[in-house]
Amino acid sequence: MSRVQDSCVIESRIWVSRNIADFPFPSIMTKDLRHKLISELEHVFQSEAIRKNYHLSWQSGRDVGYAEQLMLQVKYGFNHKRFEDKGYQMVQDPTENLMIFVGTDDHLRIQKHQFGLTLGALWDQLSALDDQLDNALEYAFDPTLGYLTSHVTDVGTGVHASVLMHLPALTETGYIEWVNHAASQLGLSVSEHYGRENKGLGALYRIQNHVTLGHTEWEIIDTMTEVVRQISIKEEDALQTLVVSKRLELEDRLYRSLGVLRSARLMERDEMLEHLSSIRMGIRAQILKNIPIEGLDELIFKTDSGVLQLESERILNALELKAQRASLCRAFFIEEA
Amino acid sequence: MKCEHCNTNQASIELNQIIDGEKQIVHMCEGCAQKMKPSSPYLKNGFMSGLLDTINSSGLQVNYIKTTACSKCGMTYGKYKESGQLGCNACYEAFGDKLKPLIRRIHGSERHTGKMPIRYRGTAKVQREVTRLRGQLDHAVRREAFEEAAMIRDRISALEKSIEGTNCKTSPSSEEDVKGSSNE
Repeated sequence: MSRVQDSCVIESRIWVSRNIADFPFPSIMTKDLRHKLISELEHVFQSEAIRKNYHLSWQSGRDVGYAEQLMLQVKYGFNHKRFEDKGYQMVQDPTENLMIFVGTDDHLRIQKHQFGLTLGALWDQLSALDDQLDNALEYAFDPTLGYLTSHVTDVGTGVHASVLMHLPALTETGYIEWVNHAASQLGLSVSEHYGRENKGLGALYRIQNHVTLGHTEWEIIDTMTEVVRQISIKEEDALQTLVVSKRLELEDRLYRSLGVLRSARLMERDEMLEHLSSIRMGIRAQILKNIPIEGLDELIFKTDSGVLQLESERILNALELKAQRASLCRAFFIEEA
Repeated sequence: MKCEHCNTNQASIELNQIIDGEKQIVHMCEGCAQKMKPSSPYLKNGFMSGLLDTINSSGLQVNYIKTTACSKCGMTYGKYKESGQLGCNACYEAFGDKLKPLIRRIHGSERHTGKMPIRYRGTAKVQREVTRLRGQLDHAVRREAFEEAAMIRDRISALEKSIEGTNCKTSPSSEEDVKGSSNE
């Protein structure tokens, strides 16, 4: 599927849970054992096979500041608050979008993400890294139950795949319920990216598998890829219906959004997401032609509060955050369109 | 923790009882719990008699028995139910009977079919071949092709021996090293 055809897809993400057989799971691990585990893993991550592909750096969860917590949530779906007392570590290679959480729910949560519908490629890369670690470590594994994890919801493959989708037309026509129903029949779930309180904010949804046992990794990935393609087709159909039946209203909405994003001096996140959603829909409907959709997707992440503060290398107050966000939006939309 | 009844075996069951209005907790091994009779000092009321009737007739009942402990990490089933997190890989075996229905309900399956660690990969291939041959064996027996069945049986037997050999080479990890504590 080309980037234009899968324009409903923003990002793909996979995380893999693994535990080491000789250690208790993190929830009951003593401080000494945790240090021993970290020291063993440091040794393994320094192996030539891994260093050849990744430039890994370590950071303690205790050194994660407020801005970074926000970034972890939006970029990695990781809730720092849940684990801040557990002494977890982060091992990452930002250029490869690779993040390994050590000592959270499981000993290892190995995670990668990429723009576009790229689950197969992500799994290839993660599986190769998994094999390299497997060469040096003895994973907790049972031939019947698969990879053993601290939560029984992750046992088996230990693989969770998710795809972030932009579905404004299905949201507007109410067919998003159809998506929920169809996905659940296939062991997948659909959730609003910005949580229940912000229902449907920016029409961003995350499709993910919740079944990890009884299907191979490739079955999970192929099923999800196929479901995402089917949802994309339905979204495109719904969008075309909207373009035909409500073109003027649609144009009015997206040009207003463009005006706001090109002019505003202060921008709230929620308001920005609604405007970006309208414009993204306009690009897909080929009403707006000169705005690169990839750049717009990057803007969603770049304007997150956590990322803005990390980039500024200081804590920004609410007004500064809004100003910084508006400034990035203006720069993008004046330059690109 | 030792069984408070025989003082020998590891306690794997935690019984809650109320005697004269006071709650008492007794830790016992499975054997002692099974052997307990209504005359036991722990059985002063009908509630407890009922409990042990249930234990004697149908094994351990979750309603009454709060705890089964994992011998490797000490995690109890009661603690697992509170936290939702298992203590170590051996917990899957320790709580197997209780976890299986839960796993089946969550995943709709009890059998992993995906990737395996490198050390298992050869064995898994052989295991799949054994399963395939067993199907052929059944078929041959149904057709009364006994000569063919005997050949298949020998092939299965040889493959199973090779698996046993492989398993022996994989030394199990030391349980001594895996004691964890939640009292950090």
